[in-house]
Amino acid sequence: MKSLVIVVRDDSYDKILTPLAFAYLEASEGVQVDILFVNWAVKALSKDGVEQLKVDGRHAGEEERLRSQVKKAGLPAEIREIIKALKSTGRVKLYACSLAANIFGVGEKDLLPEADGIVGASWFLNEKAFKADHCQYF
Amino acid sequence: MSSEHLNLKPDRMLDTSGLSCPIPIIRLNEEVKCMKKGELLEVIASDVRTRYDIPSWCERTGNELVLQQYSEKEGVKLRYLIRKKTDRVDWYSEI
Repeated sequence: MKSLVIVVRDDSYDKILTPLAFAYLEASEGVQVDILFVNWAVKALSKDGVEQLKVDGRHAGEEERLRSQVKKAGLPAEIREIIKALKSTGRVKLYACSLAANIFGVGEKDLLPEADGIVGASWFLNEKAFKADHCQYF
Repeated sequence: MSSEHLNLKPDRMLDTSGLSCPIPIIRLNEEVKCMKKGELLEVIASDVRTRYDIPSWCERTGNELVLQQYSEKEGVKLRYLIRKKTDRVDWYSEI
């Protein structure tokens, strides 16, 4: 596998961990990873949104323990720091879906410096997803 | 296990004690990139899943798993000796 596409749709802390961990693993092995943040997940690519990520619904009471366990496992406890680690591999691109950006109110100026821009679904599907060796949807 | 393997001296050491999947493999990838072909890496782990992850990684990347040891003295401890068999650093992109 040379390329992996990941589509992330949830912006809760717990649900975004797995796709980012998978991306980190594959990027460390030389795989080009392109991630599209759709729906609420687009907020995770914004400066304000990434700081506000919380554990979802019925597991909310376990947030402190979960963050502690993430750190113990060897990942940074903060999503922002995981995103920085992903970018440090030089093999991960992070894209915000333009439809989601419009709906959920994320503009170019709101994006994290690690983000690679706001792109249309059509461009992402044609240029990344259809050409990738493997696609994962979270 | 032959005594020959027990006397091998690693060129580098990677301690992943306390870390969980997938971090030991990420650290392994980073470490092996800094190694030369033929060098020997000693990996220490406490995550028992590495018993499957590391042999699988070696098989897929073409590196040699020279030795695998498991101990439960003072907690779970796993030790691996891995010989880098290629100058490649990106296991997928250069195949």
